[in-house]
Amino acid sequence: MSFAFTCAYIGPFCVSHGRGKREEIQRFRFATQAESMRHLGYTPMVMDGRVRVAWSTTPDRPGIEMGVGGSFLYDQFDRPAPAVNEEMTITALTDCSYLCVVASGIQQRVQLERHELAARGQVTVDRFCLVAIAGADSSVRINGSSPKTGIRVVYARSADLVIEADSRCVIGVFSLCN
Amino acid sequence: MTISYEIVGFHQSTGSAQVRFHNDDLPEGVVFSINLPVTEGRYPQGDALDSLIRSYAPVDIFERAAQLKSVPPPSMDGLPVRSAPRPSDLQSANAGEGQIFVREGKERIFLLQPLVRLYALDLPVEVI
Repeated sequence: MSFAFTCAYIGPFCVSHGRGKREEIQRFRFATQAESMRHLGYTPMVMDGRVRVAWSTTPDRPGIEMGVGGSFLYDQFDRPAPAVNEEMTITALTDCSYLCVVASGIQQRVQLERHELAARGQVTVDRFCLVAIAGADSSVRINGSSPKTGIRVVYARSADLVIEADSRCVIGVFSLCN
Repeated sequence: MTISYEIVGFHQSTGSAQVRFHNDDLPEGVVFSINLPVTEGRYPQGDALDSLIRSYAPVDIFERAAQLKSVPPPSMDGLPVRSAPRPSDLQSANAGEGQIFVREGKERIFLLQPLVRLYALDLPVEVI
């Protein structure tokens, strides 16, 4: 069984969210030819659970396991993955989900910055960025709001966002780049 | 379920076709903008184009329309919506053209039609 996907346009981004149940697999390939992260133009990020990512060029290798914050291009420790332009097989090691964000506009690309926040950690996000709060047990306050728990997506439509973590979490900031 | 379509426009600078999908349950239809891939300098034609367009048919929307057709129409009180434009209105308004981008620190959204499934993620989405 493949993962189940939903999608939406949010601001200048097109966002897809794939959910997989344990042991389900999903084949994935970036739609654009790319030689490196710099050329790719969009990035996925694991929002919940754990996955194993294996590449078609290295079928004999067991693949790389990733948890929350893993991006298929880099694991959560920012070590580069083996290849950026090959078909991948994503195996759900647990119930899991990942987000994939592309730009709606023509010739626009999206870059991802990930921040691991400890409790009481804080990050400021520029206006017009898309923020993914990853980790099912995450709890954050946005611009001084009441705590918001669980994985979610926030679009900074009107102002910069100050995100404070009540508990350890991974924040993915998607922004447009040239 | 049978869903028909017609190409109501083509945007040359973006290489996208505006396609109206419709059937008896939703005669006014819905319009999608579909990017056409370029292969060896050509857009798809004939069966290839037909297959591509049919792969974009929003089946869930038409299933929903069929489902709602079988029950009394729910009240729309309090919903800030306009009725869907008629096909003639779509053509005269250069139907389906739209871009969303950020320039000079300002968000530019040019939508002549509402995007279907605007908030259809199975995740909480906040716009602040």
